[in-house]
Amino acid sequence: MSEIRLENIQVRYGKNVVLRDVSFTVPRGSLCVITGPSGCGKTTVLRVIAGLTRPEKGMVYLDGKPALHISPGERDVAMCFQTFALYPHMTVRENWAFPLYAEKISPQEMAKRIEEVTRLLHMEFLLDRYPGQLSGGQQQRVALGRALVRRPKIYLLDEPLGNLDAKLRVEMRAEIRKIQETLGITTVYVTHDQTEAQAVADIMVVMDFGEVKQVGTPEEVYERPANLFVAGFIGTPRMNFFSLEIREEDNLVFLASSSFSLLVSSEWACALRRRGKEKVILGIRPEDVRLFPYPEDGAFPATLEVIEPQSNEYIFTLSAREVSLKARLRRNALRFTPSVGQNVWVRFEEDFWHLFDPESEKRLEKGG
Amino acid sequence: MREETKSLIRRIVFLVVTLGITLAFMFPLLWVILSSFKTRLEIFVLPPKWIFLPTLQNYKDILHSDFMYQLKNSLLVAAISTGVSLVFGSLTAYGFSRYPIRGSDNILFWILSLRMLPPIAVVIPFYLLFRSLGLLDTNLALVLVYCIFNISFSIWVLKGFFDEIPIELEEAARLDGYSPAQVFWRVSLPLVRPGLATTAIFCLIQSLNEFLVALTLTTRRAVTAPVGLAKLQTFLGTDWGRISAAAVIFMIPVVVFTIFVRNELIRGMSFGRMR
Repeated sequence: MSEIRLENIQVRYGKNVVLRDVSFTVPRGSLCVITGPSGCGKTTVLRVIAGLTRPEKGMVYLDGKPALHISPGERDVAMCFQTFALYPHMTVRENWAFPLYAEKISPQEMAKRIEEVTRLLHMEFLLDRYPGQLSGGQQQRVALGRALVRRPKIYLLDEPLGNLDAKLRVEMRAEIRKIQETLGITTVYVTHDQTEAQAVADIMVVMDFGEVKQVGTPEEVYERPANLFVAGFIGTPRMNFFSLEIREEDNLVFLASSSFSLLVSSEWACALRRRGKEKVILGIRPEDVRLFPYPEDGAFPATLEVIEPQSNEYIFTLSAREVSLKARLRRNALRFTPSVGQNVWVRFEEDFWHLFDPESEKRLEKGG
Repeated sequence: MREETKSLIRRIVFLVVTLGITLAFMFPLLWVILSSFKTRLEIFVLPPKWIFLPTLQNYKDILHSDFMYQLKNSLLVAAISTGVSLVFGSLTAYGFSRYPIRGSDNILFWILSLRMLPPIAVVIPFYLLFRSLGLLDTNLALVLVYCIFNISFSIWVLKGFFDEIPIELEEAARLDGYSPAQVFWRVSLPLVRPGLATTAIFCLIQSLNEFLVALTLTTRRAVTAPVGLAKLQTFLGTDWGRISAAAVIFMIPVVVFTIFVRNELIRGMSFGRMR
């Protein structure tokens, strides 16, 4: 149970800069999810916290104390490796007992812990198998179990559910969350699956190319993405982006493209004028797009190109002259039966706008 | 029906061919074993006798000769040099495999080059060296020389095996709270057991078979079995029956050891997958 603080961490493998100026804090007892596309340095962050990789610059604080000089074994960290790293010459039971031997735990306690984990991970009939005799999903559970049998100060979980089937994955992520909350062990959890990330996280760290793009609660990251990358990464289908010109006519401000133009409210108009920019990028999530079968106020026409029915919703691909966009709508909220080639009217409501500066790619705020 | 006869024929042909090849390779061995049970006369009868009344006289003679003492020398020297080579070989190989060492490629090549030397080129210097050390005709001298060959061989073979172990396994063990020495002992070493078995067999065979150095550095006390065997060919003639019996006895330790580590050996040759 300790606080983890990274300050300006830089890591290089040869000439490749893998982590650049990474700083964030994981408060004591909370669960932090690091997410980002593959190869963005998520695993390296875990390795730095564990002490397996030494950063070139920057400092790791555990419980407020500098920790770079502390060896991995003394940091009291349990890690679940993405590559499992199971001991092939030991059975499942021995794999789990191995870290407990090092801690010199009493045999009764050891048996109790192993039994708990066995039940939790549904491994009852597999305890005496060797890792080589298990399927990928089972091996992954053994790897997770080897972290969960311990009661360390920090859990580091690297894609702990990546190889499991969908049903087990949902079950396990709830279990991990439950254990973590009951024991209050500070946890850093790496996943590229943003649904999983949002489901378990207290705080999310979104990374790209070795840089931290945003740190915040899952809600913040979804509702107020700090930049274009985060906006595009979080949410499926991906957020729609439009590069728009800012035009002024008769004291009214419009955001315009060749396909449509949007009237801007006075609040936004002020903010945009103050910046003196000519262009802006508008982002709008597919689930925030409004569709009408008839012309509506402030809506522009588009054609339905592709219809993908999901369980209780549709995912539409629409085109309006040069631009195409996606919309996700609940089936019962749609008041007409869609068909391919149909003309519809699209409205972007201002509450759901995400505006970004095209140069810095940063989010624009009304106030600032 | 047709298909079945076809596959039957194919199997028979396969069996005959493999059996033929095996026999061709086993024939000298068979010949030696048969000869060891024949009398002096029977050995040279033409055509050779395949059915005869076996005699144990050759074995009786050998068991009461110097050969048993020489065999003991051989086994002692081979066992010690193999053991020493495994200990130093595994430690050195692990070091090269896991720690960044400046110029490690060059050092490794230098180590291998020790083995490339033709023994005939170094045997005279060795003789002079051991003479001035006063180690001529001692087991220690042979152990030292064999270690030179065996350690460099062990390092190369075992480095390959250590390289195969994913580094994450050792990192996991370190995070589990084990010291580097414990990680080596409890995780890395058990995982290269097939490699250790393979190396041990090769070292053992190499040391047991070595002839040239043993011939040069020994005279009486430290004579090894191959040298002793050669010395059974005297100017009074060659007693093939006794030589055969000695050869058969000489084979037994290697065969027994091989059977002992058979399972490890098979895994070693197929480089068992680890993950």
